[in-house]
Amino acid sequence: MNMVAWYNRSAILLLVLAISAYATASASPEFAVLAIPAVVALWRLSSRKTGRFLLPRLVVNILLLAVMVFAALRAQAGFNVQTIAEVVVLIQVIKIGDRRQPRDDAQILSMSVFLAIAAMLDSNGMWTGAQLAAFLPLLMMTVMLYQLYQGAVSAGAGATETPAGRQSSFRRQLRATCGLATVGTLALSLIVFVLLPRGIGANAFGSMGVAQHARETAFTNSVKLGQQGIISSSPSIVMDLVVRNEGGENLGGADLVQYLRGAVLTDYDGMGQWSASIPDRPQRAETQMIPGESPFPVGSPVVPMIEQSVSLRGTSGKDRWQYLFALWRPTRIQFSRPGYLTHELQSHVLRAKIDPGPFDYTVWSSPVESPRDIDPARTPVPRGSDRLRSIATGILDRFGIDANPESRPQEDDTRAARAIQDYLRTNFTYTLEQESPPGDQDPIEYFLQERKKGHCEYFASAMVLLCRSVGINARMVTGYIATEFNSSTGAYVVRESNAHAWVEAEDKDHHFKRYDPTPQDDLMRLHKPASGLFGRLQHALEAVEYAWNSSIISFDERTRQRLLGPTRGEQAGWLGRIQRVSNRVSNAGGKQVLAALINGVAVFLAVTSAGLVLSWIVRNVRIRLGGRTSISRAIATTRNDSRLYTKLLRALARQGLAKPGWRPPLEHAGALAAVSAHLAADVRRVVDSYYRERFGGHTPEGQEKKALLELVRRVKRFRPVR
Amino acid sequence: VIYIVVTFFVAVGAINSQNNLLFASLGLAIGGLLISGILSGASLMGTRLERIPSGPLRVGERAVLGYRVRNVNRLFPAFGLTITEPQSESVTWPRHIRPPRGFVAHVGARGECILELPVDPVRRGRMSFDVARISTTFPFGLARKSVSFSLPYWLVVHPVELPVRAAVLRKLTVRAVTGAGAAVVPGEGDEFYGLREYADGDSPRWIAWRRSARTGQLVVRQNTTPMPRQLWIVLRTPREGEPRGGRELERAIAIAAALARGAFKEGAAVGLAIPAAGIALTPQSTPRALRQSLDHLAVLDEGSLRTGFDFPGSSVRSAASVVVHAGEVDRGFGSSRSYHVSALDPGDVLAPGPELDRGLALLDFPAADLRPGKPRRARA
Repeated sequence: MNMVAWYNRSAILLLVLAISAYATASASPEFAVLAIPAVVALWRLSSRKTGRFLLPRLVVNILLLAVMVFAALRAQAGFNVQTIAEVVVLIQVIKIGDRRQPRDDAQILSMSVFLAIAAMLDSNGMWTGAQLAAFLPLLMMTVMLYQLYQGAVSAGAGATETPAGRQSSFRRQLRATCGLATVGTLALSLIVFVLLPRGIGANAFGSMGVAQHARETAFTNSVKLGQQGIISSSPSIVMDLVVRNEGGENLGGADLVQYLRGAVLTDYDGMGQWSASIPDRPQRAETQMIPGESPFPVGSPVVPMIEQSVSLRGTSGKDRWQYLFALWRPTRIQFSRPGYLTHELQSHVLRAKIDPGPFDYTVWSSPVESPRDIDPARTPVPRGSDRLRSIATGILDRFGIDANPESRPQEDDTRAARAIQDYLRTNFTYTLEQESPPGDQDPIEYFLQERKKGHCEYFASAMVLLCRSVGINARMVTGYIATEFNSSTGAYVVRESNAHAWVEAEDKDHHFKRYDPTPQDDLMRLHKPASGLFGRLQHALEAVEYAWNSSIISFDERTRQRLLGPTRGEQAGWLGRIQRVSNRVSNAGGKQVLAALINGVAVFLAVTSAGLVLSWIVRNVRIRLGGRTSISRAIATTRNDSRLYTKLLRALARQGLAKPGWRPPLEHAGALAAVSAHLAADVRRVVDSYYRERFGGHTPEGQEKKALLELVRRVKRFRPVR
Repeated sequence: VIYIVVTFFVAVGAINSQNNLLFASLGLAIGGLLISGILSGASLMGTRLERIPSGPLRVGERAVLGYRVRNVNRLFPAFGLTITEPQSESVTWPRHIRPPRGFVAHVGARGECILELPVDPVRRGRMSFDVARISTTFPFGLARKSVSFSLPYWLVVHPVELPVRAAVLRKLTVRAVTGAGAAVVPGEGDEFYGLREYADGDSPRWIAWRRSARTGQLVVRQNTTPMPRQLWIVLRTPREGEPRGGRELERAIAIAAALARGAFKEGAAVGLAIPAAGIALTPQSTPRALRQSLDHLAVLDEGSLRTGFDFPGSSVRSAASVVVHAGEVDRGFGSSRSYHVSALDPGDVLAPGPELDRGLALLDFPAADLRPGKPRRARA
């Protein structure tokens, strides 16, 4: 493969990767499906016509005009990254079909870089990142090859060609240089990445550079029973959650379930519709959040405190309030990006207005309510229908609890709520099947009296209404339950399918406590993480994705300071860093360090083995596709520049006159004289040509090549005298 | 510039959005710039350049300038090296050739590469070189780094080859043979020259036995060696008061050179006389002598020619000569055995055809066409 062919191959791969990265980032596979074949086909065609027009100039001009019109039309609806990327790809396609000079190639490569940047602006996802990570070394290699290609074309006759005998050395050294450049660039970029301060100048230029790809989840702040609602079977990840106590100890575990509150639904219309009542100003605090500043208080701090680091994979979009998820009851919160925060004082619902894209925040919760935050006046409770009241009375009677709130001691409220929860858990069945109630019947009454099966929304709705009917203040909470703990990352993976609804009911101390009336066995079965080989693979992949998100996407000023800046009482400089590392190691304990080492070695071995197996497969597939025999493989896979010679070896092998690996070609040709002088002469001529090509840089062309091919055919047709 | 602009926008986007992928891109952009500088610098630091001397060139004939590129670096190979000759006041090559530009894709660590840059000289004269430069934009094309080598060197560009009519050449060389200047000396030819007394060291085969027997004294035969045919080429430049024309002089020089080459090919010893420059090279039939004559014609400077001069002395006058006049033919300038050619009307001497058209077009080649980037255009 000469330099130009090598460059062509690299460049086309680079284009494909850039388009693919952008299509992944913008979640538009149709973009890739249309653009990639067009780019590949045009590149292949135009590579054969270097320096000439593939498309007539008139056609090119018309196409460019069409692109301009398209851009203008799109610009009317708003000129965003997507429009620019689409225009770039269209121009790229036209450019490839146009005249091909080195300068045009440079423009095409530049457009690929623009496309990669557009992908970054669109998404920070791991798959986009993975493709961009592959894009980087390929870009370097292609640019290097372009430099050589362009230099050779510019110098014209003054360019020296690398002799055929030195091609492999040239390729080897170029690859090594590319590797060196890639490693060096990555190392320097890592230093720059870490050293650059974060948080300065954020949002100074509006939304410039902000990832535009908003992400919608199934989570809503309203529930309509009998409809899809928050119920989803999608395995896509909504967030990663790390839960720690005040000492920094991870509180997560495979058998520990965390309830992440989102919206609190209080209003029920009697026909299956739940909605959140957004309180007015006095009950709602709104503030601007600045990253890097100390955590903002959203309630009175009470120990013990649970720290939750939440990484939302995407937020819903600009100018929209995004629910933030936290354990009961949030007291402090800190943002990684600037934005606005709304805190509802009664329900402790947190919402944020931020730019779209991944978003990290840390929230501290305390399961104990501060007396200062409690409203001593008992909230009036809507009592609901008589039928519900009779059901609730029946349940409480079974447990010997007075159903009348006037006469019931307040201490029994908790018992009453638990009784209703247990009643629902034991007498009703969990199902995801949807069924509408007949006529205009209340779906809750239908669920309680007739159907007796439903999903979490039905259970939570029923419990809230039953509690209310006996004078217990209750509300429905929607959010996610975190059940899937990844021990390798120490984080919970929360998926769309983990959306859930449960209940908070007020006790005698005016504290809201969580109740989950959904049958727990069914709930755990549904939210059980995938097991088996596929599950483990999925876990490993998610661990990588988590690492990507936590170390690259979520890298903020706080992390930077933690990495670089000396903390109070610690020594600055390298000595301080060494001290901190040793402190961490000693805190973690030898067992954990050993586990980390074993994990590291295992991952290294796994990756290396996978790479070796893959390269073995690729090599074998290539040999199979090339049709080389086992006899010629040893030579063909080393430094074979002549197809003719390979054909000759194959022909000889078929005749049973295979050249032993140790015997030089000319000597073998001489040895064939014992079989047939004519055959030996033919073989010798082909071998001579191979020597001239291999060592003299003379490639047979035209008539000479035809004559040599004829010789090889004669060798194939040769019939030895028996 | 584009790179810096893009990097700037990436930086602004990263700071504004706090998008870490953009921060990473900014890091890559800065890292790439630094690595580009380091790699290109490292490879250039170990690169050495030498000239490979070559013989004289000729106007209108493709030749090569030879260079040897060595990489003394033990580890780093050098890639994408561009070799150029920078223009300066001290060099004269820009008057003769377009800027030479060579490219070496790869020189391995401790390796070397021979580079031959094709050049097409368009004007005669002495072509001097001084500094040669190796530059590279490898690996990423972000910055061009270069290293210069002081390699003073000069080459002579001989006048353009004009086709001379074969009949004229025959006529001139025959005239050279039959002239009085065709002296005969004893030697080892085939013709009988005379007898002389035997001397020690003479071969017994040379002894003329019959004569020796008659005279009683050993005598040996001597054969002749014919003197080479001698032809003087005399270039007559304008005298005082005569119109001077650079184009005519160039044409006269080219005709003189063409005659010299033609006569040499016919086996004649060619001498060159340029009275205005005080040059008189005695006829010799060696390639070196021809080259010397052509060298003188190549470097002849119009400004240094005298306007008062006479036909050269007796040695030229007694031999066959062809006088090439830069202006009108002056038959008084020369001897009775002189053949006259005028640059104003060389039709009798030069053979018409595409080769002549091309040669004459090259003589008229405008100097401006050698500017870099402008396509070369020859006027017929």
